Amino acid sequence: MRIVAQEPVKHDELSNASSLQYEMTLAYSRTLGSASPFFEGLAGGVLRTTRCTRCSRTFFPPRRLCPDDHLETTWYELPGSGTVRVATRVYGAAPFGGFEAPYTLGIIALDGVDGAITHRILGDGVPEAGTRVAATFIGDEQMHPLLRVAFEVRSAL
Amino acid sequence: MTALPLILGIGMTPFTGHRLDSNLTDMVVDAAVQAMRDAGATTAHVDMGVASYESDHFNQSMSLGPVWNEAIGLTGKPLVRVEGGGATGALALQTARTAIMAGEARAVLVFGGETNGRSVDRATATEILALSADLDWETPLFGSFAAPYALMMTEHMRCYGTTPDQFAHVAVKNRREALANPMAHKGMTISVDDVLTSKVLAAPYRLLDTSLLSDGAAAVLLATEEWAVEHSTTYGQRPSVEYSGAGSATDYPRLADRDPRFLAHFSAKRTAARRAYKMAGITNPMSEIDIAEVYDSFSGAEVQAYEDLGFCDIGSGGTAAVDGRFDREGSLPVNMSGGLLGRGSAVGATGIAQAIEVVGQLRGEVGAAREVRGARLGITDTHSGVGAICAVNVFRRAA
Repeated sequence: MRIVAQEPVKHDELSNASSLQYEMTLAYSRTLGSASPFFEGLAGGVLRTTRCTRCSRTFFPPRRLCPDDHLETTWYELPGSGTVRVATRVYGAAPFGGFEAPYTLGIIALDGVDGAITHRILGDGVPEAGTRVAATFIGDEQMHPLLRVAFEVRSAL
Repeated sequence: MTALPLILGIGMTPFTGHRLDSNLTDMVVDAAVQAMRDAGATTAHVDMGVASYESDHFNQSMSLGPVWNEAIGLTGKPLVRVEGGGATGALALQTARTAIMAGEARAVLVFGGETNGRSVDRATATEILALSADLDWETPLFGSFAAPYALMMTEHMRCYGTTPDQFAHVAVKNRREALANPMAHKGMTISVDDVLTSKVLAAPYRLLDTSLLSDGAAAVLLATEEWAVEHSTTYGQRPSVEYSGAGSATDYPRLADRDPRFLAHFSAKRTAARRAYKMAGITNPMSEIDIAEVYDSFSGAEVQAYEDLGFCDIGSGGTAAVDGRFDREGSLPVNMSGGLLGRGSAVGATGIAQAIEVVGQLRGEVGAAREVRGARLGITDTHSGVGAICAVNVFRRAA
């Protein structure tokens, strides 16, 4: 943290107030924790999540513990297909880059798990609810590992 | 004698884009001193403080509660800081209410504020606000917080045929009402067409559908009637306002985790409202409530709130916004302060400022320009994120 400027406030009604300009850069070390296998899977073109070994309940996003049984879950692979619940067009740039604005954002119910993901749907269109989509993997390293996947409309699925 | 807490003192600073002459502590002190003067009481007789603010990132401090507490003469008393995103101020009031109802305190001062205005530049503010979403699962995809709100409203349009010009009416109404509120950040005379031609952020939302980020502070003194008789010199000189009900509830913070059947709605808002209404003995919100301040972070969120708070039938919020029933002359005026769209939002102060507007209206003190005549029952509504925590408070004019 450092102070880069110190200046009296220029305002007609103010007499004594002065103001400081601070700069502060924050570097975080953030672990993806128990969800790490999911993010590692994306780099290898695999969408995976967890299920409870006792009750077989499935989770997305993956959970380490079943909230009912409090047991460690086990990982399994998802087919990567899904159905759009709702989608819209977003015009602001996303914080970690990886794609240009505008882009299409949707909530996608994933096949093979009782859960959904909010993610990008490729193309200029905004698919209707019920549209079938499939995961497509992005080869290049991304600033955030979640961006290694996106979805595309697969009308034939 | 009522067993319910009374709102004895209210005070707030104007909400502005950038307060240059005062820092956040100055503003909170101004609001707190006003609240104590309004009550005609001294902090020596107050039992507890509740500090209300959301973001260490915006305010550049991690422990402002004791600083404010000291500056308003409460050092030595118990103090708690409350944080609940956009619902922070409303939850601070509920915390104070609980302390009084539990008999742990007879008088509690709630004070809060935020420098959401220009303490950081716009790009940094957008970045900080993006942290309100799930950093691992949502933030990488959200260009701005407009995105999840836009998904909800897209679903509302699909389910009920709601149209952008309908929720644009809310953007016009709230900015118009803010013109009559000297505490408002930015009142404007705009048309539905102005809203519909402003820049698109995330369809269907455009720039003029979005609320303001403000600097500001607000404070409220709550106490028992017994305490009021002993310590408040203004008690009995004007209409008394009871804090009749409080309700809160939570939802899955990530939209994708929610029940897809209710994606167009703030489900936790319904539960919070039901709890608050039950506590306050409200059975028909549509006909009983006279005035409301609701959380219009986006114009369409107010339309959704009409439905989830029981002000109109589910799915009819869009047509109700247009038919005028929530205008000043309507049957249930909403956001006569200007709301977040016009009065603005300084998060830690917002829920408290809503209560101040309602209490001012119930007392008949807001001035003819925006007074809702004869109002006796009012509510406030706030939420965090896209409705992860919802809090509803009910205030009633006692006499």
